[in-house]
Amino acid sequence: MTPEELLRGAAHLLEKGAIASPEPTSIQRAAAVLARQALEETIAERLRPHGLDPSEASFSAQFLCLQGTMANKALAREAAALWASLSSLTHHSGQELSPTDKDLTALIERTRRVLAELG
Amino acid sequence: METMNHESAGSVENDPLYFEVFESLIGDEALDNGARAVIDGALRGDAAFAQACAEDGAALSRRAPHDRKEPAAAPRIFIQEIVVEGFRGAGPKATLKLPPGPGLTLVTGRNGTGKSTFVDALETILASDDWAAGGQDRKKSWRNLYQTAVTEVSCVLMAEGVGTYRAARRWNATCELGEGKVTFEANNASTENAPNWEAACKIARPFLGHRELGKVGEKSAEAYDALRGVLGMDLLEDAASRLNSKSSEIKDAGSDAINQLKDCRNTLAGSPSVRIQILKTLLDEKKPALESVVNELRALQGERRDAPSQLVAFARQEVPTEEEWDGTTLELEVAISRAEAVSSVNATASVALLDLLDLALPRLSAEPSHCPVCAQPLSAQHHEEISSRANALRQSTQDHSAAQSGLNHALARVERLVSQLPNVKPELLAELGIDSGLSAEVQTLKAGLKAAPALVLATLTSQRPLLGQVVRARQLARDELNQQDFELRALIAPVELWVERQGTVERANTLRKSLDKAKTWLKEETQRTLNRRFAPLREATLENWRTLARDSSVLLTGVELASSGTRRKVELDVEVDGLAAPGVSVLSQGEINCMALSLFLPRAVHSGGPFSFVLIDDPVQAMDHFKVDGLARVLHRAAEKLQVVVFTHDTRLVSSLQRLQLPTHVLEVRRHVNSRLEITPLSTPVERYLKDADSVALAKGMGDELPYRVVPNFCRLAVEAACQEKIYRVRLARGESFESLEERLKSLSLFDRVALALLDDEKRGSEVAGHLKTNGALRERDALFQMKAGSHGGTNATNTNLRDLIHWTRKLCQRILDQ
Repeated sequence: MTPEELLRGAAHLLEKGAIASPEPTSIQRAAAVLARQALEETIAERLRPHGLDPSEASFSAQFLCLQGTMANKALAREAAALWASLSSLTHHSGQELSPTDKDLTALIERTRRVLAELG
Repeated sequence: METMNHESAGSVENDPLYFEVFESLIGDEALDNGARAVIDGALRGDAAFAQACAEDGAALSRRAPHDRKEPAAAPRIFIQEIVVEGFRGAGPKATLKLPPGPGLTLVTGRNGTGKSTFVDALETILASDDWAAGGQDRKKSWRNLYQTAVTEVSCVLMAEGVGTYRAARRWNATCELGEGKVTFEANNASTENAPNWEAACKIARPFLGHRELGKVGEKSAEAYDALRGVLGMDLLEDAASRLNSKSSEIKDAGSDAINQLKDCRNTLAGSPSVRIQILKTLLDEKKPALESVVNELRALQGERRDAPSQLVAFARQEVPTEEEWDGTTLELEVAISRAEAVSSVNATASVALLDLLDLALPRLSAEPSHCPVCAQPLSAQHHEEISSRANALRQSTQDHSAAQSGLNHALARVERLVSQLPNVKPELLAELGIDSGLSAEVQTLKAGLKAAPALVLATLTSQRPLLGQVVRARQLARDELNQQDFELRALIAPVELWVERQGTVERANTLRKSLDKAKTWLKEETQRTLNRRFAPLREATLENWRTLARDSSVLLTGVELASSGTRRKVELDVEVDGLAAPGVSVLSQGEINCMALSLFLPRAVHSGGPFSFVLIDDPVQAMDHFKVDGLARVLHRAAEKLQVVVFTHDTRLVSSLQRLQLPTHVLEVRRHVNSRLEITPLSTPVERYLKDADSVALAKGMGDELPYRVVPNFCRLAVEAACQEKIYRVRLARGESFESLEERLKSLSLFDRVALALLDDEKRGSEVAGHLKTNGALRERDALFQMKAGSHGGTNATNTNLRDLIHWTRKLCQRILDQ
């Protein structure tokens, strides 16, 4: 699936009545997972020409590389922050509480903008 | 710790504190009997105290009650559920179910999800006024914005050995906050006899929120009140209040008496009255003799010696009335008239002639034919004429006599009448402002009574206005006397008041001494009792601080409730790095929160009230990681005896409790559209990831590809969570720090993390697959590879059976946790 398809999938999961599940919170987390994957794959595409193997490098390494290879440092930082936000919504680490539809909708919209700028 | 409401003296007899104090009272040989009696009376209530005071502190005759009864312990009450609808942050009906009984429950949720709505709802039911007083905004924003037709809050409370209570408060659309209808059921039967929960809340609120947590430091007096309330000191405080009140009353009476005496001296100073000056002399003494003053007052009131005797005599003089005057005048007039009618009769000659005829007539009857004097023959006709004349003479004589008698009677009456006119001296009349000639006129009138009756009549008639003048003069005399009496009374009235007040003061002298001793004794006894009762709270507070601030440089060495007059405060003995610090001002906000929790959690444990639960709203604020761990331990310890329900958005507490493996029931509140609240139990992260994976795999409408992109991710997260749980459990037990482990885990890949969890060495990640194979866990090994490939979308894993992947992930997680 392309990043765009993944992002559309994420937005679809948040559409009212689109998904029949007794656990709406799990579906919300699934939307966060898909949005994060869309971001990860876009970044991987940006880094491959520079010889970086995304399957081997950790994400913190990937974002450092992104900042090093992009002229638009602010966009690189925004992508890193967005990934961290989406990650936190997918985790049940105790410190994090369930996301809300509003949180996720805003994050997916941010992801859409970042993906467009990353090109 | 017992807390009782002593509305009647009878209830005091069942208060263990009364027994304790009574035994001290009779056991203290230094205390005299009078003081004992008033203390005992003050302890037993208003009526008993009034009686003890009326007996002037007579010796205590009561004995210690023999049948000392320990009060039955109130059944412990726990919360089973709280239901809200249309209230605060809750729209449609939402129910928070809690495990009733001691234990710790965490209700988590993001800011604004409605956690505090449940706390507010319960407080509204138990103590609505208290809740409404908690903030001005509450009276405006108690209804939910989305659901306004009906607002209802209710709770089910479980009372040990009794059953369940259901209490509800319901408002229709037009009700104000204070107008909610309250219903109450005990064991599903409605009853009017609702327990007095409001009073219990006043003693020890089972809520710990910002109100309580902010009481340490600047609002130390409030902290003092909040803590002292649970110590059940009402009995002693009420008694002290009675003693102080009576003592002040006597003291005020003494001051009033002194001021009154000064006023009396000033008032009497200007009086010319000799008697008043005698009274003033008595009052001018340094300590006026009350008995002498009373005697002088009595003399003044009884005799009025200073009034002139003539004035008094004149004022008291009976004066003829106008009717008497006119009646007497008329009688005299008639008598004179009758006397004049018979005035032609020569009474003496008529009587002499009648005597002769009366002598002759019997003779004439014996010898009717001849005159007994001249012997001339007499005819029968002549005989009749003589008889007739004799009869006429008799009648005439009788009429004359009667007229004379009537005249004499009338004149005598006139004399009596006139004699009633007072002989007033001209000087007295002049003092009264009356023409002094009246005196001479009266004398003239009296002298004129010797004149002929007609002249007397004429004088009486002409001098009738004199009567009016005399009556007016007497009235003036009476007015003068009254005025003098009034002035006297005006002078002595303040003295009479002073006598009454001074008498009260002197009679209360013995009582005052007893009261002073009683106050001193009771104050010391109160402090002894307070120290004794506060001891367990003090120890618990110190222990809580040691737990909460284990790594802090701040040491709490003592806690005391201190009061002096109206000043009250909680004294906290604090040391920073071994040096004494000036109170809590040296503490950070997080430390102040810790201090407040250290203080108030023991209050909930030791309240002795019916509530065996405490709801704590947002206790974590401003605490660092170490303190949060301490908080987790403190809450867990409190939860051994109490049902502790903590509402927090800061899930560091959840993490801490999980990490420290302290059993906790965790619920999460989520808020959806139109204030619909969803409350779900929060299980371990491993279970939650697996549940997410299950949900996505089973959801309809996901399409074919999306689940394959998501489920492996959740499976990987579940395995990572299982590893983390296992690593923390094992390594924290070895003494490693949480922070170092957290940092270490951050950089580990999936296999390295599994290696650390399974093989205790993160460098053996490459051995994980072999280890699983060796141990017969081939399917778990395959699942591990599938989730690694699929979790970040690197591999299209649509050939994977997602149900199998989840199943073997669960098995792998169990293996990691159990091995």
